[in-house]
Amino acid sequence: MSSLRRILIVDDSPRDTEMALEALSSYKLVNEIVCLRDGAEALDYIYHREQFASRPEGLPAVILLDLKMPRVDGLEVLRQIKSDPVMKAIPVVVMTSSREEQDLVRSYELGVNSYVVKPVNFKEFVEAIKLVGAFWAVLNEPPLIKDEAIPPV
Amino acid sequence: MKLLLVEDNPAEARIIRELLKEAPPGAVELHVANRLSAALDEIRQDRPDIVMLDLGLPDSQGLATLQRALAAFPMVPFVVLTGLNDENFAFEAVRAGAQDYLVKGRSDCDGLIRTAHYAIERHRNRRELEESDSRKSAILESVLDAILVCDGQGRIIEANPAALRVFGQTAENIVEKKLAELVDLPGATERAAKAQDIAPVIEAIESRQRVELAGRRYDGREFPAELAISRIAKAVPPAFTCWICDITGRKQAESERDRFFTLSLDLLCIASADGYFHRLNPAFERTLGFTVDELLARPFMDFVHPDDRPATLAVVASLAKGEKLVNFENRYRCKDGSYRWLLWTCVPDPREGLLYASAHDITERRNNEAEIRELNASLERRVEERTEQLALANKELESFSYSVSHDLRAPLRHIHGYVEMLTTATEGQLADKPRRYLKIIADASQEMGRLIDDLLAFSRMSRVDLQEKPCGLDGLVQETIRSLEMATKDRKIDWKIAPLPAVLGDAATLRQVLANLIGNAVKYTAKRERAVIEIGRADPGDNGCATLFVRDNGAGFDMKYVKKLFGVFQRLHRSDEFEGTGIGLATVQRIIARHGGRVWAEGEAGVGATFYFTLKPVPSTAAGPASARPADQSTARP
Repeated sequence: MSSLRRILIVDDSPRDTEMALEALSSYKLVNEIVCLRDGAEALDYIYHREQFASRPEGLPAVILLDLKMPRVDGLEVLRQIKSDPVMKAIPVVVMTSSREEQDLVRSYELGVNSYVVKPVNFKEFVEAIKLVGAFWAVLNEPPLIKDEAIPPV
Repeated sequence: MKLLLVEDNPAEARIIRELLKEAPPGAVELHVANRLSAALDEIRQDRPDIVMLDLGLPDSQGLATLQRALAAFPMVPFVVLTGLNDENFAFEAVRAGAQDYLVKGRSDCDGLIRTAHYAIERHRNRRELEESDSRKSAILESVLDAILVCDGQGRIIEANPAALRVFGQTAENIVEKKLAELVDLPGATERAAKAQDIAPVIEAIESRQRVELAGRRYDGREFPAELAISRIAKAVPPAFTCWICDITGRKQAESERDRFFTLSLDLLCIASADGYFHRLNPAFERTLGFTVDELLARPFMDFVHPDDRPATLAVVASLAKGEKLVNFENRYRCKDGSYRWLLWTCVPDPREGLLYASAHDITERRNNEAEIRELNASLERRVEERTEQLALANKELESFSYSVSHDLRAPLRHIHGYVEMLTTATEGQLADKPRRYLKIIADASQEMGRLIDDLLAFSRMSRVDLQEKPCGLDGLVQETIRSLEMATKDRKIDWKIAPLPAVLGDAATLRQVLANLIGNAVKYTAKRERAVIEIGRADPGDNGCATLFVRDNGAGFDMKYVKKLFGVFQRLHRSDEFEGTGIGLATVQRIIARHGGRVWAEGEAGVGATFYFTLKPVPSTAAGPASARPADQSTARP
């Protein structure tokens, strides 16, 4: 069943998103990939709000989350997801340009599942995306939860 | 009464013997000698109470007989026996020392016995008088001060030996002098000039007890003297005794003391129990600006700063109990209204009710102290401000490096990513040249990524907290060499590693030091057939630090450029010779400096380089193999 679950890429940089897509495409994943441009959109998506009010049901297989974004930043998205008793089951991989100690520490405190520093080297970047994407989207077996069970926020 | 009769005429002797038979029995014990020599023997042996001496004897004639007897026995009273009509001679004998005379044939028993008794009595009285006189003159002679007797005109009548000494006069000279010549009697010279009696002057002095005046020696030299005069009772015409003491020594001591008292920069005073100053030295005037009279006129407490009065009163109370006081500080008012800080030392004399005190003016010191306190306070304020500014700057720097790390890396990643994607997308369609261009773009972006990473790591190094613990350098070196396996696996390297000490340091950053230094040694020996890398301890270390070194036989460097070696982005080799960002040694220097050590290098181009660094050794008690491996400080990562 998980093979059809979506992968969420949340990044304000279209270039990074494109590179991530390129990386994932080389792995030939069949999952649908949803690209969101900031934290606000990500939360709207998860909670079926605004433009995503009528999105298809189902929790994403994994969220690849950038940290530094306009409006709502990655750490806030992470905080909201991980403090939600239902949503916290979604694996969140923080993918960020920096390896600032404080971000790393804060992310783990908030319950991040992986923390990946985007390498400058594209081959390494592809490797990293493939690894986390494959692990969380394909190999990881999530608990059986339906997001319909959650009362709308 | 034992009576010795010295008489050579037996008939005369018999008359007297017969005469004395009328005396009451036992009243007179009569001995008779007929020559002077026999008489002297008799006196020596039998000690008669009285001797009756005829002056015409077979072995001595005339007055000489009496004189010889008196010379031999001055303690014995003699009565001379004379013939009729010889009274002139008898007076002569009495003047010569006989107690009395008896005219032979004119005395009866009672007269003879009475004459003998009177003679004994008179003799005893004279002896006593003489003894008392000699005692008195002994006193006069032994006294150290001059004692003179003068008459109403001031003429010296008598002088004791001390007077001769004091005035440098002889006994003969001094009796010709007048008192006014020996001492400066006030008003005496004027009176003498008018030929007036100086008795009123003497009497004036007498009533004043002791006076100080100048004495004058025979050579005209003057000396300070003390004089007391008293009238000799019953003396007619009037006479006076003068006591004169040479007080040169005392005056000298006084003047020395006064000179110190006057000279002293410190304030010296004597205060009395009534709360007033009693005596003050001139330093008081100099320091406070009040005259001595002004200071004496009011209780000293009036001059004490109102805030210091309670403490001063307490101190005065404890002084009154006889306690000594040291190092008491209070403020005294000056004439201009300002205050001076005084540091007091006091010794009380409770018997006299006096305080002896000395005070040192410490106003300058107090002012300096206050200034220093103020300076310290302002320094502390400034340090606080600076610390705040520094914290702010650090925070800014942090957010700066945060955005550098984010915002600079992202475009680089994009350049690299898109070049790679372009390379993949144009696979097989591009000629060698454009493919090489693409590779250069990719390499350049990667290199810049490394530069940014290194720079960030370097700047983080100055801010990160160091956890200083005992670290075994042996273990850290082995770890570092293992981590370099990728670079060394195809190389021939002789590792010469000496046993290394445990040091006090932050393991995580020391690991970076070793990684940089050993990594450099590996890198710069890459072109050697056989690399030799030596790691050891150089002795002696400086300041009790351990000096360690990493030596290689690699490319080395020219000592001309040694100063550039540790600068950020400073490189001594082109990157086509040896790769590198030029930040490794700068990081090493910063880490070692933050550990309180120092780094330096020696090298020779084409021969090799040695990098030295110093670190604090573990204090011997804390050192031990068990404590030499601290826990890894880095955070666990997925």
